[in-house]
Amino acid sequence: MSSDILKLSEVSRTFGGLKAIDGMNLSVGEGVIFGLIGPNGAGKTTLINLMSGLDAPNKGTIAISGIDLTGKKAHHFARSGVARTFQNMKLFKGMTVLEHVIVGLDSERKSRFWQMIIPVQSERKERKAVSAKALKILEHLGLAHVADRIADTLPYGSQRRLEIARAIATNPKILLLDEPTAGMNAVESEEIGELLNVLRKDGLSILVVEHNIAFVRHFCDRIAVMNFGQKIAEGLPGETLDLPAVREAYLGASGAERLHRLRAGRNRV
Amino acid sequence: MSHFWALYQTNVEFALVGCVFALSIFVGLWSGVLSVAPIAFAAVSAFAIARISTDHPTWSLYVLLIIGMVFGAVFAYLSSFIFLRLSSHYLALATIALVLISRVFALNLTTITGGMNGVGLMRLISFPQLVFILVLLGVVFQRLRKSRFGLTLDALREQPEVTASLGVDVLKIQRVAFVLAGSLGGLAGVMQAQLLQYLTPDSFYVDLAFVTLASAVLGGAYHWFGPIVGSLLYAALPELLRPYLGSSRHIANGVLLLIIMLFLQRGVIDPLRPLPFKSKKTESVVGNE
Repeated sequence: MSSDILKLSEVSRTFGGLKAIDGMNLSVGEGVIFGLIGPNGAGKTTLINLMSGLDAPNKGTIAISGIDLTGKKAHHFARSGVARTFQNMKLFKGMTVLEHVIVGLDSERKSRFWQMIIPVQSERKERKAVSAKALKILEHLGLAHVADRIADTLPYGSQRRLEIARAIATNPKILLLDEPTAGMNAVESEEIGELLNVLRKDGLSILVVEHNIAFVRHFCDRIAVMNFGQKIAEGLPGETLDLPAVREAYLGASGAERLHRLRAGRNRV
Repeated sequence: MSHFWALYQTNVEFALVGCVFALSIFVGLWSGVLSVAPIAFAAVSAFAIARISTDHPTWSLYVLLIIGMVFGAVFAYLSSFIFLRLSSHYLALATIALVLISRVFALNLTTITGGMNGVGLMRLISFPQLVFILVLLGVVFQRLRKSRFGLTLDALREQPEVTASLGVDVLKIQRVAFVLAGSLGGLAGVMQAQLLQYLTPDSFYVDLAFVTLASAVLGGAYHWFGPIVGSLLYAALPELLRPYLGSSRHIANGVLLLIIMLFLQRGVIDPLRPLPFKSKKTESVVGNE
């Protein structure tokens, strides 16, 4: 399919003897919120690292909008339209909220570094334009009122939001989110979900790694389930989450069996 | 006062050049690269300038300084293709090796360096000129700190992976910083040569590299003012201790530095620490004219 924003073909990544990703095939289409779930150690974060160019596969190819980027560096992925967030946030210490977004706009920087030492008219203009653009992005994400605050002084939920704002600044086609609702309560998770819906309406594809099954069920259009570096199921969230193989991956064979018996018992009563 | 000046003029002058050396190391640290290579580029520029100023005794100081910077920058650019391939601590060790090797070259390229005998040159630089150069560098660094380039360097040092994932070509930014560090090293080399007036293969050796690195880290490598404070402190401490401790001051000096580093791990100057006189950080990096 040519409308795939992200396409992995037979991707494998091994660390020594460990197969972290094993023959993975995955396609994410345009304007889709795609959920990626699986138990701890299934290889989800490794996969995001591969999809954003921070790591390279041993085998297989990764294409963004039909262009093969296998083995390219992270900034090539970013410039081809991949943006991402991190599981443990990684904000820039001591920087303001606005500055975070300005760093995200860096690939649009035209002036050279010597133009910043010697005052040049064009550089000054560019600076103003960039500030305005960054502020607009913050407005879109509801962070404009804290633009001048130091980022680490924000409440946790806003920091998560800022991380998304910083990623959006690169003007991506696909956004990879690594557990965006980790450590959030139900209301905050809901807000992130609504935000994803807004971003999707802007034409963005989103791939989200999540442990929060309720969130996945509610906000994802399509999901894939991973276990031991392999995809064990893919499809609509409602159907896929109920597959025996998926239950087994999360609960173990005996756990899935017990759950099955429990449900069967409840149905009888 | 004039008594003080007679006693300490040389110390002050070397301390000022020490500041330029420390700034050159600082630029590397700013981009997340620990490198003492600027010391080796300083040696290249210093010996080159010694030769050039002997051949062209009429050339002005500023021409020599610029030639020194260009030499430093060119050597830094060429060697960056080797060094920046390495990651963190391997890179640091490789640049120490470069400083070690530079001495072998200085010993054996006798036509330029004079080998073991060294080479002499005329001093052209005056004290006000030393101060002027440092002030100029202060202005340049302040502008750079407030620029988008400075912001990207901050981000890069804090979170290199994030910065790369935002579309920043990390290698390219580090190369620009490496070349800038090299040109500052070249500048410092020429200044040091002017003060020494006599260069030997040991003039720019590992001891200078370590002292420079220590003073940059001591002063604080998170703001350009840190390395300057660090260098001045590093130069002043032994002299301040001399009346009280005599020759045991060297031990006290070491202990004091250790204590400072234990309690101020990010150095004496740390932009994240609230200033004692300012209540709130209000400056904004972009958008203020």
